[in-house]
Amino acid sequence: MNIVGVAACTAGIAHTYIAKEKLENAARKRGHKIHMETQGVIGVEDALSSGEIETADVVILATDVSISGKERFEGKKVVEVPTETVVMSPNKLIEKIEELV
Amino acid sequence: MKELQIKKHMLTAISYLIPFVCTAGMLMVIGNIAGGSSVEDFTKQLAFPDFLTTIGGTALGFLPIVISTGISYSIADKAGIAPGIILGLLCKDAGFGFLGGLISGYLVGYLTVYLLKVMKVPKWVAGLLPQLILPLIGSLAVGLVMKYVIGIPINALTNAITDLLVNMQNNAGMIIPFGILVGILSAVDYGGPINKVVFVFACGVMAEGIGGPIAILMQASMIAPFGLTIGYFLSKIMKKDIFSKEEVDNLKSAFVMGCCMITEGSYPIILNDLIRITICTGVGAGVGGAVCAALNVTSKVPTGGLFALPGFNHPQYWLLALLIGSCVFAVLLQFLKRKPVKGNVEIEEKEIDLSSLKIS
Repeated sequence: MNIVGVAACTAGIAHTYIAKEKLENAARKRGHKIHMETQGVIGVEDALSSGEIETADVVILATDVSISGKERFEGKKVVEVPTETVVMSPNKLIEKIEELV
Repeated sequence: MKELQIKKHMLTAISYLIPFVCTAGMLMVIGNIAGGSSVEDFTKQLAFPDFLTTIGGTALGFLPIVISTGISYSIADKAGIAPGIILGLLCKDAGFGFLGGLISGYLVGYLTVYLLKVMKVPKWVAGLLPQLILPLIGSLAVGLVMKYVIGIPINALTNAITDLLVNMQNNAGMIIPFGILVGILSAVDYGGPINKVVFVFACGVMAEGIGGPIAILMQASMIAPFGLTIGYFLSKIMKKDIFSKEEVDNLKSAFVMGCCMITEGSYPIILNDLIRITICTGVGAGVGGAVCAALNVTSKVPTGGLFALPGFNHPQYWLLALLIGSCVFAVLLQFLKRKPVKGNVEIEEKEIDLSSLKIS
């Protein structure tokens, strides 16, 4: 699968980046292509390109707060979870998403 | 109710609030260190320290505006900014305070979104809708409701909480359990939603001139990084091998971030052994909170860690509370923490309920 996503937590210091890393590792381990954008306290980093969003099979939003640019994912399959879920159980989440997609 | 996403909007607003209070608090602290005092008349020639203290203090008074705008913006996007500011200003000046700002933010945010959905207007006024019509209706409607309906119980509630906390200050049997409770709640989820709820409460009463809860929260937020650091040195002395090499590396940045009251730096270590370390955190923060409360430590600055020291009424007692709490944490850590097993980084994943997960 091609996966794109955004991670954003409240303070935008730690959970955001831990979630990104965990999801990327979990997805790659199962042979998916993944690109996560982060919206931390510093703003948007590793921004998704429109092409990536276009070709993505599923969008994972690991967010505790409102994010900017949500309209980019209109019409896509979107999964929304709190960052905590991703930090605790990234592999289970990916498996579940495989089932759903 | 779930569609309202109350928690998410609150957390979004708090994420905007944090840099604001940090900056305002620091300005005031720097001013205080330099001997500044708050000045009423800003137009006169000011000494530089007075300037800093005054602008920092004024900015901290803006908390109702920031929270109101943040929530309203999170709910209603751009159309929420203007009414959020106007209503926050009303809450600040009418004495509805932080709690009022919180409520007005939600009300005007949801109202704006609702109106945007139901109002069918001809195309040529569509541009005016978010420009003028929605902010105007929102500010007017919610402003009147705040002033004449909701404001009354809010004032009563604010007064009741303030009285309760003031009375507690003179009652050792109540103030110490209160300190323990605030300490534990502030610390156990390491800056997560529980901590943020306490933070909102503490900011609210701080705006009413009661700086006790925020002082407790500040030391509780720093217990984990400081306790881990002290715990590391203690483990060296006691020759217990409980930290892995990665953890020691992480500890350095955890400690530096901890000095600024950012608990998040300790995550990599905490997550290796969440439950056992959280027991240490809860006990340590509870003890620190009790010490803080018993010694009647209060703060005028809501965040900043060690840099906020000049904002406390008794900085030495606050440091004492932090030290005692961290030492309790560190001692407990010796018994509870285990060294992560090498090569087995793949820790067992927590079983979570994903059945409600939906693709939209």
